[in-house]
Amino acid sequence: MTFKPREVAVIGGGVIPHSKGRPDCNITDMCVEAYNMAQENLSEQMGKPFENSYIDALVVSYFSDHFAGQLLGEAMIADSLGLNPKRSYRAIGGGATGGLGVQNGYSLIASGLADVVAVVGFEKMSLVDTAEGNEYIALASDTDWDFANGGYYTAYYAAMAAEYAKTFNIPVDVFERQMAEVSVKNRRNAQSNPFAQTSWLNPWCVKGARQNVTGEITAEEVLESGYCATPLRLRNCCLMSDGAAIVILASKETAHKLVDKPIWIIGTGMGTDTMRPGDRYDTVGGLHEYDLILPNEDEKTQQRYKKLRYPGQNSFRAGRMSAKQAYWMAQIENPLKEMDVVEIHDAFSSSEIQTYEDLGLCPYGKGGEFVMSGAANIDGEVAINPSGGLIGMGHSVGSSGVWQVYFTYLQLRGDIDQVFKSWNERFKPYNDNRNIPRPAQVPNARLGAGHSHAGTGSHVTYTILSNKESDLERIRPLSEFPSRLIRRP
Amino acid sequence: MDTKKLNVKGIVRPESKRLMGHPEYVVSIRDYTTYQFKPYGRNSKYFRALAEEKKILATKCKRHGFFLPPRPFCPDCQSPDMEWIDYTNQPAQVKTASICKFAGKAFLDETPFLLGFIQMGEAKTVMSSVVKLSEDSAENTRMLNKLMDTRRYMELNGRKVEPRFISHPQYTVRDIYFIVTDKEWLNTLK
Repeated sequence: MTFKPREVAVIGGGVIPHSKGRPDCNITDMCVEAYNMAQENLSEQMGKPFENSYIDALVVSYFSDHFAGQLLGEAMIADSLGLNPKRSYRAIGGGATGGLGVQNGYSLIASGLADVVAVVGFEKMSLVDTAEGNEYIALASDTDWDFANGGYYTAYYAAMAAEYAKTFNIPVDVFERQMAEVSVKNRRNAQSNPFAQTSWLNPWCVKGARQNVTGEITAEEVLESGYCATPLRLRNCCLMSDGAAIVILASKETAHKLVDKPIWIIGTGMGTDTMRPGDRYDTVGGLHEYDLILPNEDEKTQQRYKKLRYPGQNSFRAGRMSAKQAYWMAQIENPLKEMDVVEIHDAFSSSEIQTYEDLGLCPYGKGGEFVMSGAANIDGEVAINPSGGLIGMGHSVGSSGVWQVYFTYLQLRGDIDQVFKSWNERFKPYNDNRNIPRPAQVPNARLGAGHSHAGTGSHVTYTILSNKESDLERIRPLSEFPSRLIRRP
Repeated sequence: MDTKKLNVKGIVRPESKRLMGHPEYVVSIRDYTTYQFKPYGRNSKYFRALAEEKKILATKCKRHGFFLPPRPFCPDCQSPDMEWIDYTNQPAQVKTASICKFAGKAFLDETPFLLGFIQMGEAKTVMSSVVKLSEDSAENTRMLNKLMDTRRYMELNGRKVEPRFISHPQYTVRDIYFIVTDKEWLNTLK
């Protein structure tokens, strides 16, 4: 008998203004602040107070005990949210921690273990300075083999970006310009988001810095910023952040009892790859070998992929696997046509470009041209990182994958501008009375997704949302996901 | 962890950037340093050979080929039946690389340095390592700067290299580095 998972909705959420430092918040303060926003919003939707007694399970996601300065921080979060003695789990997996949290919450409800789940993600990265922070992050590389060569994650991504440009024959100046465009787009989008670290609307943004760390940025400014690790420049890199976010998930039946306009989770993909980027075989025709061709890739493209070395160090096989699963589960045949908004884990401009391809939004090697064409803009074919992404919004590791889903939820409800506006009104005393420069809403958004990515691509989650309840009928159980790599007895 | 190390050593000053213009908050300063005793396990063989015999060892699975970094169990079939092979004199090249101008705190004084992924012999995997363009540190820095200033850094990919062993090994991957051997190309950076 085919197993039918229970259907799951996102019914609410919250996020706090991200910042280089939030001295007003320890880890529990951040999470409660995000929860209060969710609670307020849910109470408005319900017309009565949303109380924590509705929540029967908690998932806490934070990446690093080092950054938290705390082991078992999840106990403090459960306590501060008043959820004891109910069940609570911690989700953890590098940069994909937030995405894993959301998917764990999904699984709890889909399997029948819980009915309403709060997924709270946070990271407090201001505990240390940037160089020490780089070292902490690099502890998520193989500490025997890779860490000692610089203790610097950016270098691994940079070397992968160089390999990418080499594989697809992209000249250096063209590639650097394409990467700059990603930063320009994400910083521009962030300006409408009062929670974004680089937005002047944010009460906790950096003011009066010598360099352009807040506000929009031009391609020239990106290209004039110094190299961190070739070919990546400072403004190609995401930000270290203090931040927290929350989403509240519920079963279909309960969602209908609580709110008028739930957003539905219709696809959950998750892929993995080796910890050390050097351990990924350069397999000629690897996309075929690992059964990772997507339904929208035509015969000609498939023929080209027979000669392509994959993944090696040029692409993220885990990202492609997550996309293939999520599209299969949600029966999405043509992601570029069907997806309206995708929050991509832009740890670096290069990885956003590489990810367009993994997600099937354009063919391999064409990601740079894709962003230059404007296709990824808010008014483009598929809005990528309308929130600002990790480069514009910030990268509060354990919460990034959570706010991706929260912002996508708001996009699909069609009320993101209203929510941003009402919060900006509260922030006005602290942001010089600024108004939101332009709408954040992606017009007529129906399908959206959050893409959360760990390590140099060791874990990638891809979670697809829809605002049409009828899309729930599309769901196929992943226990039947067809793959040459999986033998089913 | 020595829990005494979690003692608060003070608080940041009111003008500290960490307070983001809000001196009403208290940010404490803690010492979080510690020593660890971390075994290399089955790969001890590699680190011992590297430090004591100046050799690079790879492993070979009968079915799935050569691995460097060595895998004591085959990652494809989990077989423990791996042969240790001296790979020191195998041809080596930079598969891909990045010039780092910034780094983790412990490595800041080494910047700029070149991180490379090294392909050796028939290994299916590549190994990260520091790569130098010159044994002379000042010249190495000048050459790396030139590669960045002229945006020629992509020329590093595919360069032939040779291993060098440091004189006072510490039983880490830093006991070796690789040096680019293409004299003609190196001359263009002088």
